[in-house]
Amino acid sequence: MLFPTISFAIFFMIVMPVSWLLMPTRHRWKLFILAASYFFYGYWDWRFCVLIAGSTIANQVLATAVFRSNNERTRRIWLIVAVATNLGVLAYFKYYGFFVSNAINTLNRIGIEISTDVISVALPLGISFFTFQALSYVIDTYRGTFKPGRLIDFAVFLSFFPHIIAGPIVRPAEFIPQIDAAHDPRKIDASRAFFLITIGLFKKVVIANILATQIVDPVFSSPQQHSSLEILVGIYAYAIQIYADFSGYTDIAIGIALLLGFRFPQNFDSPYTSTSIQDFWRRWHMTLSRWLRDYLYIPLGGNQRGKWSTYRNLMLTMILGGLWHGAAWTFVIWGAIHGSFLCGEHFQRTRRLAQGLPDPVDTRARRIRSQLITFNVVCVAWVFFRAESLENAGNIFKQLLDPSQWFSASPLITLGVVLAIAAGLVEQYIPKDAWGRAMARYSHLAPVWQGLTLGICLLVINTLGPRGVAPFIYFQF
Amino acid sequence: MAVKTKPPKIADDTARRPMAAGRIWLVLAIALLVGGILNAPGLRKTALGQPLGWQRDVAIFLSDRLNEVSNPLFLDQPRAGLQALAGRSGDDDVDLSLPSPTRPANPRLPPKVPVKKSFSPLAPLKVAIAGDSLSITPGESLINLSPATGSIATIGSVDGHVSTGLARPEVFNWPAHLSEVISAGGLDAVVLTLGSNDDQNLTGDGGVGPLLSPEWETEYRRRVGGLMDSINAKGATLFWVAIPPMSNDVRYDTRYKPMNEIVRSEAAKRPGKVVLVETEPVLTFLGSGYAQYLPTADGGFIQIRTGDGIHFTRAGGDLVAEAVLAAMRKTFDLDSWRTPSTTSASKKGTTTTTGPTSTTTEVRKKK
Repeated sequence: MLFPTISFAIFFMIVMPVSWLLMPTRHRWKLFILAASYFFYGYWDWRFCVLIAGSTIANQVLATAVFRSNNERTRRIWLIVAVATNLGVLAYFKYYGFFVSNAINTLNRIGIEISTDVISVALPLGISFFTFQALSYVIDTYRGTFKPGRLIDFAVFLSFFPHIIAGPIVRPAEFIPQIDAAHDPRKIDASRAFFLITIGLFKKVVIANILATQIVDPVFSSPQQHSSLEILVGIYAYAIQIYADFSGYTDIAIGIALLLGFRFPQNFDSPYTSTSIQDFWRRWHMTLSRWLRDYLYIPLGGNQRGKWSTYRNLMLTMILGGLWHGAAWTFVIWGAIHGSFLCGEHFQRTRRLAQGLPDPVDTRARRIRSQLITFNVVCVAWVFFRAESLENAGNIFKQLLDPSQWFSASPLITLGVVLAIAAGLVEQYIPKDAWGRAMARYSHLAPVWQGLTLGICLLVINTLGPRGVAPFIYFQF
Repeated sequence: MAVKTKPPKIADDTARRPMAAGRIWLVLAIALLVGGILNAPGLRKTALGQPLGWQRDVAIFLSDRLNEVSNPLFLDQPRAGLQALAGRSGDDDVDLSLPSPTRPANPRLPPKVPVKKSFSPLAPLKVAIAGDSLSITPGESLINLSPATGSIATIGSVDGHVSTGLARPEVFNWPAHLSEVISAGGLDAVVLTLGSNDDQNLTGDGGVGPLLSPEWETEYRRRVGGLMDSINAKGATLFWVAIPPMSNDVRYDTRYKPMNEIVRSEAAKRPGKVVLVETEPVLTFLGSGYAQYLPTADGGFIQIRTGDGIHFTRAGGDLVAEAVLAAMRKTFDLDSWRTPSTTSASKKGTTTTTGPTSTTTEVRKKK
């Protein structure tokens, strides 16, 4: 079930009141929300429910085994089993086709005939997200920062429908205590939820879909057919598209969770206002960044084992973060670009500290220059992220830099495309207190006016968005 | 003693007034009702496009009620105004009419085979690529491969509309759409991929079921033939890409093969004007059936179909695009401009006596 659909609107209009009515009898609420979440997830394919149910039971058993064991060696073994199981399942679904085809190629080249009657397996939606959450559950238990709860609590945490498909990646310690905490049905932060849902819908249905259909897909599929200007605008458009698509989804998810009385961590914080790549990763897919930091970068040694070890850890974390998106060299290069710039920034910072130099003065001009450089570095990396192959990425850059294409006709650059890019950028530069004031004003309106305002927003979103709902980009990860 | 709190300051971020769950439900209900009335024409079109069944019936019933309120009160006008501003007037129109095949002047005579036209870089073959989701990747490949011919100019991007076909004109009316596209673009050829969403009951004018019943076949044949003739009537040659083998063999054998046969026989009635581009020969490993990987020249294997067992990878798209280009080369003279004697004389649409005119060679016999 997709958020921006009538089916979901009907589903939510039933689930929300029932959820609040059952909240006082918490056990019934848990069973109900679990059933609703499985219905939401199984709406695509009921077999997915078997997978998440299996993951829930397996991880609960493993986390309990880790928790109950007094022997450090046994605990460690259970942890390794849990990590291997989760990553094994993830690898099977995400990388099976890649590994099998490469293995077949290698074997055939050395003369061992292998049948090609191999079928890639369909990727279950949200598997990366719920696998990461399940890993957090077991690893946090191992570290002693979290005590595993009841199976039903863990099942609700893993399958809670607002975040099951594309995050945000919530920690067990952030969510599970909320399940049994008191929720006052008279004090819901609805105005924030309505703003998040409306802005999220606008970003996804209007901005992301317009940019995808009108410029990004044509430019990336056939770069040789387009002018340099179209390529340039297409690259910027993709940067806005992926932001609007992904942050739009998580805005809606956070808003929906708020209406059910749950708080999710923030996942995006105006990432294209970043002044460095490090700053970018504090603002982009924040829940993945901190997951990679806490469960990969720090266990690798973080920045505690010397200069070269820090660089290695940064590169490894970013490259593995890239590979998380898919088994392709394009994702490796995307991660490597980010890793290299993080290393470069770390080098500059440590050198300045070693020389006893003060931080550069934060002037407006310096900030704008840093923002422009960071945005363009991120855009270059996005080319590899979006390209279907290295050859495709190469063609994009070749066409971009081909002087014979600089002044060619550019029919794809329409007013709609320019406005959509501008809207995606401007949204990130609106001061937070302006949003806060607008939400506060809205919250004081009578329900009829609130509903009317939202209805008019639905008119604008439904009318301006291209017909049909394109899948969210992050569904494929 | 309870302290009486001051009313919150509006300017403060923390001054948001919390709401009760019941009120929230009321606000959402009002929003959906208002949004529904204001978007009523669009909702009706969306409802019509739902898969056939009770849910679609309910959606149509509800959207009709919304339209009964919206239309008389002119509440559909803001949407129409916004659509006009966005240059998308007519987005909510539903056209259920589908053309029938034109009757030949003398049915007893064999159909005329048109003379082979020549194209060159100065007067290229103008081609549009359209169809359902299966058209997109091969279409992109065709756009990328065409410049190498020197005599093919693909017009625009792939005109792909997912989940569409000839079965449900209320979802997307291909004959009407292509008629507009060809008229606007002055096209010489259309590469069309349709059919994989048509294995269902037919709606619209002449709607029938069940699937593949004699009545269904008659009506589907009428739609296929009508679409072919409507494209030919605009002066464009149609290259119809056959439905490829699917990982669901049963579905392919029992549904798509008979549908391909209908298209094949209708194409055979229009030699030189409609060419069926067979996909099975280029997408199978051992002569027939579905293959996800194919051997490469260097002894390796390459994935040609995506994990869903339906769509194409880039390599698979390239194979289909090459098959389309081969069919175009047999139908048109795309290469004589390369020889000096013909280059200067080459003009768009110039006919040539060289090469075979029997474009029916593309219409292969079913295995």
